[in-house]
Amino acid sequence: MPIPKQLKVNDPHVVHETLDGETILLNLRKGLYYSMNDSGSALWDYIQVTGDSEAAIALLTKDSGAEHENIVSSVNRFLNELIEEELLVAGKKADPVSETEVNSMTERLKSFAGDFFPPAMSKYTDMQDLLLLDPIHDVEEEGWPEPKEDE
Amino acid sequence: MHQSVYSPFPTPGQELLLKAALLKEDDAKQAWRQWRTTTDFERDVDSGSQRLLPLVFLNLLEHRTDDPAMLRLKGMYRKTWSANHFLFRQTANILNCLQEAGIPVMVLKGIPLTILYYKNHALRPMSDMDIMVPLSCARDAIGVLKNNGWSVGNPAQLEFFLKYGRSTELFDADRNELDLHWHPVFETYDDRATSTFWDKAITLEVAGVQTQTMCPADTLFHVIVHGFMSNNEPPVRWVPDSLMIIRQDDCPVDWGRLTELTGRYSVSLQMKEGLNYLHTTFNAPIPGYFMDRINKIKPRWADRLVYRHAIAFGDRSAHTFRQRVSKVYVNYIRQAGNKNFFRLHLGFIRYAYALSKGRFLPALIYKYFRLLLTNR
Repeated sequence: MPIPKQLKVNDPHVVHETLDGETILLNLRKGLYYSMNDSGSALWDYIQVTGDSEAAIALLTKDSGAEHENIVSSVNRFLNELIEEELLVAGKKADPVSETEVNSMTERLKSFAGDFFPPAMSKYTDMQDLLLLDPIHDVEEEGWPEPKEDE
Repeated sequence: MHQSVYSPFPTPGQELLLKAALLKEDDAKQAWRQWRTTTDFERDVDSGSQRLLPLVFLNLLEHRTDDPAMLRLKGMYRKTWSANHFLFRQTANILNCLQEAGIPVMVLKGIPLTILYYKNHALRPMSDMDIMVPLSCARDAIGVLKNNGWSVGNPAQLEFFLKYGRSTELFDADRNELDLHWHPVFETYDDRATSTFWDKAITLEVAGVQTQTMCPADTLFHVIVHGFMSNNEPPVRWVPDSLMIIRQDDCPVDWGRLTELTGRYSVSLQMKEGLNYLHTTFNAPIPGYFMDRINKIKPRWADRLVYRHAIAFGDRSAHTFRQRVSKVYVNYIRQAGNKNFFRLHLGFIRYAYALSKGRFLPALIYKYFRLLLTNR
């Protein structure tokens, strides 16, 4: 599926936060929780600030040589997944964005260009059960929302 | 002296965690290390302490602390962030229903604290929604909520709560909890007393819905008075809640207003001891003139009784008959206002009769007078 040139976060149904290199998202309408790896997080933050999918691909593929096609296809796959999950929708972001914020997101995304690894996202569907987990005793070492495996 | 985790003042362990959450640089790191060496992360974390962990996580992350436990603290942060977003959205739906029915609404406690003072959905865990409507609209509000799938937790006591209480619990089919208030605390015992909070209310947006909440001084008043009463949870969260309000530059506290509320609702001991603790332990920027004024307010015997009860029985574990009577008596004293001694106690007999529906009155009167003589 072709990626729309302009994308925006599906407000107000989607909320997101990036902390310590990880982006977490909620689709409040569907009751779903998502977590992204480093490169997925950098791509998400760039798109949610600028909305420009083509510029994101251009930044990641600059000087990529033989890897160019691989990068384009994995980024397209990731963006398609975000659209299918209704986390991103076609359209222009309404609120203005500061230049500082754009620059910061651009630098972060560019840092993945040289040593690219595919953006990826984990999806958690059983939120009712996950929210009942004791976040100290019922979870693996990596913390909520990873439930402890039954012994 | 052994201090219960339900006391308003933190235990040594809770205080270390509070310092890890609220102090800067080495002070925070040192408190965290000390807490880790004295506390078994798997076994000794009371529910009040557990609620502090997202705040601890963010503070330690900002101060680049390396500890394997950080992963689970981060999990606590993620969980609180997620749960609060769902809770806020549900609250927004309820606010819409009530406001469309023409009922004035105010949000209290965790939701406004999160939006205005913590400014981060992940930092302030909460288990329910707190909404206030005027007493005159309480029955209508309950009707609207019932039509939207909520039911009163204790319908047998609803009339008593409407006459003498400050709120009732409601639950939906998924056992989500909503506290519907008509007074914020017991001390604001009638509509006239509560109207001052509506007069000074400020606007707030909860998940896209415009509503109201208390102004900063009234919120601080509420947080401290609520922290110094029997609680279902260890009440230690009054400490970070208060500090977040006091430290906020864009929503400054009107200290004159807080002095006025403190005198009017006879809570000078709670305010004095609570704010002194925040100042001495966390260097909270509380103006000296405010403390001078609070120190000059002379507490009545009833105020001292209420305060002593908060310290001794802050724990909700009112197991014995004496403890239960004491709790009922103190709750009555808090909402009885400035009546003289004789009228106060005539009122208590009516209150106890309404509460027990006459079933246990003779035993209650006997135990009550015994307790009264002991307390005096």
